[in-house]
Amino acid sequence: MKSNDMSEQEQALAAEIAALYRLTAQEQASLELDREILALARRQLQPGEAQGAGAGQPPRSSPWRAYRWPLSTAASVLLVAGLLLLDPHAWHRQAVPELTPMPSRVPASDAAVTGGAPAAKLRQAPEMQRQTMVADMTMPEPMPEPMSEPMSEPMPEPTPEMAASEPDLANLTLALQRLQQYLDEEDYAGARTFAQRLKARFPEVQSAQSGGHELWLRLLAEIQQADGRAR
Amino acid sequence: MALVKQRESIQTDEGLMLSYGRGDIEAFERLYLKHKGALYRYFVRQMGDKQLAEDLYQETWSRVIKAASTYQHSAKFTTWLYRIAHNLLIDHVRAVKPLSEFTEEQQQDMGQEPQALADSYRPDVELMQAYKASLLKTCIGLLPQVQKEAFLLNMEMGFTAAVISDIAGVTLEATKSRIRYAHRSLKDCVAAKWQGGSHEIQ
Repeated sequence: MKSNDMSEQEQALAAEIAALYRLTAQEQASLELDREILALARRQLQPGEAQGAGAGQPPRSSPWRAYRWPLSTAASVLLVAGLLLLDPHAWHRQAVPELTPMPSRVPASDAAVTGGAPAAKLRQAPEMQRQTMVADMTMPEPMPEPMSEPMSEPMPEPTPEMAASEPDLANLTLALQRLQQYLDEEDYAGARTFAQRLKARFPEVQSAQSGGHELWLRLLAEIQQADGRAR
Repeated sequence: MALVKQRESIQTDEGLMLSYGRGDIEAFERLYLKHKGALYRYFVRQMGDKQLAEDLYQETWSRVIKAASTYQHSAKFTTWLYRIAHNLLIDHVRAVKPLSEFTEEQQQDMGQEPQALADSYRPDVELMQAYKASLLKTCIGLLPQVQKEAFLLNMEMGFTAAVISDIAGVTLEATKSRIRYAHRSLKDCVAAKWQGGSHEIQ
């Protein structure tokens, strides 16, 4: 502070304090700290460290650092594509549990048959279900014939354990149960349609080694009997 | 004549900084030796935590080093240096805790020293001055943060109130008040502690 800003008394006080202050103002940085800072100053002058900056240019960053986002994105895409090429069925196995509760979520085909627009369904559905419906409609899944009427009861959702252990078998079982439900309700038209879809989605059900093969045959026989009665 | 002028320019802080920016490491070493003590004490006296003070001290020099290539002679080197230091200090204090808490904690930490020194008191003039100086050191630690900073910048670097107000980003009048209050508080504090140790301040 300039001395002319202070009174004589203040100046005397400031001088006394300054004198006392200097007696203890001896602290210094350690030699190690000095060395680190001076080493940093030297490194900064070395070529490659800050040569560009020394010429008044902005410091250069390595290409890896500059393009880390595009590079990491490209690496992720390559990884996913590689995994899919190695195991093309991985995608299908992942997708099936999501699509399996067919009867409870057949909005695309339902809408097409019943005349209700998908958008109208979307407006009515709760948010969570709406997201699933959108996913369903955008999936390039070939659907067999549309169902004649919407399901009255939703299918029980597969548990995570089921999906994790044997997702196809679990989903097939659920689908067969649903088919049984159609027959119990004597909805034979619905049962036929559903059986076609089931067959398309689980072709292994026709194999004798399949877990649900026997039940499948019995249900098919019931449908055929019903057809015979109708004729 | 031109050579003399050039040499003079190199010897100033700004000249040294420009030389370092052009690759002269010795220029930086001279600059560092000149300012390291005051800057170190600026942090140590304010922080209370030596390790933290050293971190901020190192970071300040690191920023100086990195900015050397773009340094321009538009500002005085010391003003620029202490502005960096001030901003780092403020950022740290804001990130950790409010200023008031910072000051209170430091008061608790530093309140123990005078008694220990009083026990070792001997009626020798030199020792008496040393004792008073140690009391002053303790009292500086008890100052409010803003007064402490203004006081230290004034003591260590001999900065005027105008320069300190530029560094701290406050008005000139506020800075003058801070320094004035700091002096009064220190006088009262040293006197009180001196009397508490059964002595009379001269």
